[in-house]
Amino acid sequence: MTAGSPVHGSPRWRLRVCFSKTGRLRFISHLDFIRAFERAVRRAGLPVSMSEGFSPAPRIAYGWPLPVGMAGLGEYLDMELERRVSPEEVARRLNRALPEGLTVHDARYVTPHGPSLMSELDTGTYLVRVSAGGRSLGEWREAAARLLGRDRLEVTRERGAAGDGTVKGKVVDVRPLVRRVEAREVAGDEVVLYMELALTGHGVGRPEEVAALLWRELGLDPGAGPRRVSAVRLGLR
Amino acid sequence: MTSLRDSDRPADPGLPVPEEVLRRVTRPGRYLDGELHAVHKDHRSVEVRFALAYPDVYEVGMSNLGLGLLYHVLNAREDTVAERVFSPWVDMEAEMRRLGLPLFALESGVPVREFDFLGVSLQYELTYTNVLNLLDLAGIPLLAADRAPDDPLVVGGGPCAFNPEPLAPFFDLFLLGEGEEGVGDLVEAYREWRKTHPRRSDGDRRGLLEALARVPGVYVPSFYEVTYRDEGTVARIEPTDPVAPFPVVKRVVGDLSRFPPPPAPVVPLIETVHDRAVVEVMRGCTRGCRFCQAGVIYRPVRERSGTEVVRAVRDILAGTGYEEVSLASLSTCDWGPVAHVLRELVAEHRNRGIGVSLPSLRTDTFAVDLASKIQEVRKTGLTFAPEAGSERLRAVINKGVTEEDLLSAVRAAFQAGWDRVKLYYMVGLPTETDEDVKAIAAQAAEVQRVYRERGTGNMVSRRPLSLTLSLATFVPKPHTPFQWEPQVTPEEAARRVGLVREALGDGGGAGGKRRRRRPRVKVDWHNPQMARLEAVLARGDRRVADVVLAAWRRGARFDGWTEHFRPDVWEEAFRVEGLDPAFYANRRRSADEVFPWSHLSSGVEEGFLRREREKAFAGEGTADCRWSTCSGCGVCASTGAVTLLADRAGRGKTGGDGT
Repeated sequence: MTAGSPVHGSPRWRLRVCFSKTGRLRFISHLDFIRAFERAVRRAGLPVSMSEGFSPAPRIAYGWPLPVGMAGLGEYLDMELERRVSPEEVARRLNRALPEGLTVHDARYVTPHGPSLMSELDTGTYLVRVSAGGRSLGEWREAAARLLGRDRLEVTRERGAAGDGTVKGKVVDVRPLVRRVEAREVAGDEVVLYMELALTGHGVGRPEEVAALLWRELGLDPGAGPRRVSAVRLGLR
Repeated sequence: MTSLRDSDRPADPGLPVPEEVLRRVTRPGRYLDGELHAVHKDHRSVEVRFALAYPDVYEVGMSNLGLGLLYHVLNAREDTVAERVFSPWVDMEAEMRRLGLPLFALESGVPVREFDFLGVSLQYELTYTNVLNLLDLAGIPLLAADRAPDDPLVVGGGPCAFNPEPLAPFFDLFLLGEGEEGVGDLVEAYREWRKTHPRRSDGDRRGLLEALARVPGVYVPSFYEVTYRDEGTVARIEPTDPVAPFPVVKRVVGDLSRFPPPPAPVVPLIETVHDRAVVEVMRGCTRGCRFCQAGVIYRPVRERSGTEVVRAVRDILAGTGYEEVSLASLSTCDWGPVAHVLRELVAEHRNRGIGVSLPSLRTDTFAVDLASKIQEVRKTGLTFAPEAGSERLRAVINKGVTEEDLLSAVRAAFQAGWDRVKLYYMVGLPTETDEDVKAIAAQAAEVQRVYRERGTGNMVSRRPLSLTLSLATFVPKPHTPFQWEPQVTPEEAARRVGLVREALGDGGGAGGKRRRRRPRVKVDWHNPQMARLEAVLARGDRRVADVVLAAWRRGARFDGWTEHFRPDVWEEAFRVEGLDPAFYANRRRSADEVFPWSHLSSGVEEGFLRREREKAFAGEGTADCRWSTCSGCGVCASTGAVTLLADRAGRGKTGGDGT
């Protein structure tokens, strides 16, 4: 079956949309993003398929949620249309309707029976800026190599406040979640890191945790942690 | 080698708040701006800058219809910019104080202090400490008397402006009644003044206030002197300035069609309390429930036509992309064209997954029919408000609902498939006896019986009935027939709620969560201490302002939020200021008492309120003047507005029953 043909009998078209979430829109949650996107779809008057049942909703499958505060430059979602509209037309109409900070870059039809978006994309790529702690690019590169050489990388993740107000931690080995780490440059007092981290149902890699682990490798004060972590998700694959 | 370009940097120079702060606070979306249809104007291109503040968090303030209307009306003027301001949540307030960040308007990030006007929406008494907090965070002197010529004019509006005395020292002026035309007049008067005083620091503030006081509906509290008797009641209220009107009469928009519902309201980026499109179909309600302040201050009834509403709904959905639209008013089931319009709206929008909702339901089968039209498939809960349990007490409050009305309404609902019902009641209504209170439980039992006997039609639900009783403590409000009445004490309110629980066979577990008996009834109980504070502030005089200030200084904030309400702080504030809350909340006023709001008129005559009070105690009803004879409230004569009814079929003005 060729990409873009209708889903079993019913005339539906599955369109994969690549978009970015930047600027102040970074600070809205995934659920708020979904609401904003679906309202834009309605304003754009796109013939999106509706689910059946008690509360009909547009048939849109979203990719891995971005953490609140993180920009994403190459995010994905799949939307199902009742009839074929050219991808350029969809992108144009969406971009006119979307709030500033959400931009569609590309759209293409994919096979309606293919794997889900979440299962096709299992890696996030990130650019992360943290304070370099006075270390050189060479030292950062060595630290990254040492990090990748380790069998286990333990971090403590908060599990939310318990009933008594104390925050309980859980020790997690994040080594399987780290696929690639590189130090790209040191500019001023900041180092620019490139990371490829896992996005799977079993675990999601977090750039700020990896940055903190690198600080530990460099013997920098682990208590203070790297100041001013700012991360951008470059893409998903 | 990948390198970060500047465009990849997540910095946003337009953000009014440092990024690291946004990372730390809860729901940073509250402070972002950037929503669809937010209005951005160059401040240098306008003559008047108007900040519109709602003294609660973004999600609450953005759900207020009036604020959105004024935003639209003011920004439609080329000479004016209006921008929004909300209370920062406690974590954001701490950050702002730590960084010395002044309160700013969302759209421009410009400090509120630089605006010409700071309009504050006064919807609820328990936001008063938040009002002080806004002024303080803005760096505006709390007392109007301490303000310099270049401080913003702090103007209050909304229902609480009908007795704003507990806030009087903090405001330069109030605008009574509907603001659509009044704010424009204020802007005009201000521009006129600025023609002879080109710089904001020019001239004296009193002269400016005198110029503004000439605008109808404007109340400048500093132009009135209040004297008190030894026992604490008001002796006299006298104007001290020749331009000060006595009384100040509220503004009314004669014909709503002059102000169509804004087709492009700001669409929030985060979920708000009422996260849907809203089209106001009618203003005012003349059912005449004697406890209800809105029913007095929004008189007379003015309906929009069905045609106008159908068009407005189409426009607002196209402009916003909302998935739901609400037809708003004080009693939408009474809106003439309602049945016809709902049918039309459902037919037009249903297949796109767009829902229509009504804010409240009348307690009768007609209302259930309407609900069936809009909830054909998904049956969410239904809410009715009998307000009182016994027929006798409902006659006292002029709630013209019989037991049979309620039972046939729920019967119709159960047969149509609903299985979740919520009933609203008040405890502590005037003349209420223990028998009246127990009648609430008896009514709940009747509703359960009707559910058991709902039959076996293919529509009926097979699940057990979910029945919730919501019990609020009655708060006597100014400008109502019950303005002379005492509120019951919090202890007495608690005892009466206990009576309901006992009669329900509920062991009295907190929140009514005990499940010993089936089918159970859930009891929601509003904090009676909060209701007491609401009663004090609702009928308070100017001396209560010292208590508000003292409570705020001791950390009172977000008093309407159960988790932030601090009764101990308020108790201390009353003690320090030497005032007794019981004097304001729990005292029966004498027939000749001068009220702190005696100089402020809703257009409804006091004589009408007195007659209604007497009829209440005699258990006599008063009919709605829409369908019956004029009840003589006086509003049409004193405001020049008249009752305007739309044709029921929504076509022309010929009348005729479209249902």
